[in-house]
Amino acid sequence: MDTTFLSRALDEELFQAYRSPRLDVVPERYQLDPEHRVTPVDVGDVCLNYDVAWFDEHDVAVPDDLAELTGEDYEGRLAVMNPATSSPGLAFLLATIERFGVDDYLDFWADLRDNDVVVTDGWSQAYYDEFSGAGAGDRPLVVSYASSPPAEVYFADEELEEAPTGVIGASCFRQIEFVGILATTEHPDEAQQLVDFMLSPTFQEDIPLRMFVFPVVEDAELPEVFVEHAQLPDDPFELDPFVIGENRETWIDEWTRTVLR
Amino acid sequence: MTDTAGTQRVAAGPAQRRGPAATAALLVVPVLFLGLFFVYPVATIVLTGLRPEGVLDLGAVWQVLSDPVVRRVAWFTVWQATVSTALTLALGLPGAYVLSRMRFRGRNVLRAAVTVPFVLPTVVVASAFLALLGPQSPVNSLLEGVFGAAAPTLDLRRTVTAILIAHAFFNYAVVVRTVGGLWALLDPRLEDAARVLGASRWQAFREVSLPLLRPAIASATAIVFLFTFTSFGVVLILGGPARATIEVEIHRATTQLLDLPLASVLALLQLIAVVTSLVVYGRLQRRTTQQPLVASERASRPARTRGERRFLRANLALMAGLLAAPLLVLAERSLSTAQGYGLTHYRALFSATADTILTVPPWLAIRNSITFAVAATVIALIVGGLAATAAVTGHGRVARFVDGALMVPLGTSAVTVGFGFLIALNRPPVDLRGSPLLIPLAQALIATPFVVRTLLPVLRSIDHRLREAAATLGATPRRIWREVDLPIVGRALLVAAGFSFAIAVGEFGATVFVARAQFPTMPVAIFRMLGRPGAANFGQAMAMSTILMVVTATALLLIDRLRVGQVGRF
Repeated sequence: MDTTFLSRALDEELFQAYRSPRLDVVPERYQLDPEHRVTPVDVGDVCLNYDVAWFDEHDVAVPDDLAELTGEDYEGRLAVMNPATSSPGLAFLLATIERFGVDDYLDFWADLRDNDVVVTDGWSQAYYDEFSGAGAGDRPLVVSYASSPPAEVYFADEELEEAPTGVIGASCFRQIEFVGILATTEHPDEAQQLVDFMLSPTFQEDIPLRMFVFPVVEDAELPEVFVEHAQLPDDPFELDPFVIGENRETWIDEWTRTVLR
Repeated sequence: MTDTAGTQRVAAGPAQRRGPAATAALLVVPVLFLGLFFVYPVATIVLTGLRPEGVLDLGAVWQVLSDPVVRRVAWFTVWQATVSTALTLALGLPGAYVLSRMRFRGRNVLRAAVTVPFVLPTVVVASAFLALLGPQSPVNSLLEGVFGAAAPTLDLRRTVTAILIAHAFFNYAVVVRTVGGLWALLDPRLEDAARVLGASRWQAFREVSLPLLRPAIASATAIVFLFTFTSFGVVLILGGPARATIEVEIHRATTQLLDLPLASVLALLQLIAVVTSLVVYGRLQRRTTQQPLVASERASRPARTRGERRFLRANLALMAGLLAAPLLVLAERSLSTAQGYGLTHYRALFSATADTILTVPPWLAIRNSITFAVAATVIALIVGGLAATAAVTGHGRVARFVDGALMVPLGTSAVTVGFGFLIALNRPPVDLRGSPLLIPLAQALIATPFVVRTLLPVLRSIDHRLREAAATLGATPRRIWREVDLPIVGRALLVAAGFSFAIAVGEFGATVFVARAQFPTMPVAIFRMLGRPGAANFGQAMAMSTILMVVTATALLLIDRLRVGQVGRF
């Protein structure tokens, strides 16, 4: 269950409350439900990635504000995903809503469309077919994850000193993933043990290299490749899950009308 | 059915009809299969959606149907499916002729190879198409070579043209196999006779072969139409996000908006359209023809005239451009590494342990795929074989109904079927929760119509006097089947088996819903690898795709070489 669908599950009262003792080592900012019907398990940000080599070669500055993306330098340079079909696509839309406000974000997207943004259906098309930093594409900017640069190093064909891609910190939207115990379960005790286990250092330290997201507990050690090549921004865009839940369909519809039709 | 009753019936009746009881017996398995694994899950999911508060809400139906966006989507769905089908037929019919009637070196390999595109996951193929249709394509390098810098740049990415070309790529094999399967058995002397009497080559084809091929062409048309009608990945990736089919909207409503009422209404709309087109198709099918069939070895001849050679070359060139080029792009990418070309990605697939994003060693996906596909093929052959036999020998109306009903899964959204499996088959009466059996069952659902469609035209063409003669001579129905039908049908049965296997190996839409993490198939594994950043993941996904191609082609070649009973000597 991630941030964007959280309110739906809470409204439907799918889960029962359980406060794991391990929550003591989980920062407050990840605990979005005060009643603990859901427990945060991992955190990962959706961020713009850039092709390091392209920006070096072309002597263009890496943008450090979303507003710059509508400028001439970045015409035809960005690939994003359809928020109606892609979860990182939706996260990036939410980042722009947080950055420009509900009244102005559509203007930004209209400008972006005029600036020849390309919209793909899913993440892999954008990343592997349009982005120049990882695949066969010719666009140096793409919506991806904060963990993509370490993944590029970890899953490289040869050993890399530096990640070929970078993250634009000022574009990140926070996504937290939660686990909840079903209200109707016949095995509440076992379920609670599972939640505790998912917050244990064993599980939490295994998360980065398997799911390429970050642990939520403070006492988990990050793998080397994450320490060296990943940065989780301190101040990402965030939106109240209930605000997202209430407006998601409207925002997606408005976005579709502005960008695709 | 007892042997005596059957014998009397066959011997006494003027046509080869069996009694209603016999037809019913043949239909037990197909009806149970369709009922339990299609009607029940799909009805469950659709009704769940239509009754959000426990009561049927028909207001929702009207609301969805009167939405102009939905109407536009529905129109585009029908339009692109019709044009795609026409294009596929136009390209595929000459191909079917070449691969079934002309003899040349490497024909068997080629016949197996043209089926490969059909099984590949759309995600992977679409990516290859983007490379071939984009500004850096070989076509553009060629244009630039000829016209210099002033050359126009051809960019077909995110166009309707790209969708149509890709649909032809995927479904070429459907035409080649269903039409070619019958064409290979037509007696060439029929056309020869027409030619001797002064008909031109075209006239001889139009007036002799075409009417005889009509049932197979109708089958191919129906299948291609249904496939393109429910097309999903191709439309999304190659057409760009601004274009949507009903299938795309169902997927969006189910997985993103979690709007089950909307998804249900759309699924119903899709079903209605599919059933309507099947009724139309059924009418076209009713006029069947009977003709003497010959062994495929006798029907094919080498190209003799210059025109024939030119025709052959043109078709081979088309296959190379349309079918081989995207496959080569995939193979090239699978070999490409940071240190130049090599087998790194293949080695990784076989040496990697459970410590990957798949949670199981990747090679297990290959084993899973083959196991599930063999199981699905067996199920499809049994269900489809019984249904086809019933359709040919039973009473017209019942048989036509079953024949049409078995086609419906082809035109039903994979999301609907997959989701229906999840919520309907997880509790008694059918509790298959988490069972790996769900995978071949879902695959067989898609493969069965192909078995029926491949067998029917051939079964219908058998001269019933052969069966009657055998019956008069005292043969039991079982013996008649073994010694009259099987030798003739054997070839078609092999074609059907090969096709079923290919469909099962490539099925993704429903499989991804029911395959648990520990049982990934090759397409599911490819999808998961492509969902992660990193050159190794991309390379391994391409390597897995290439293995998928090789496995499919090899299986089809092996099946093509099998001999069943007297097949080939008839």
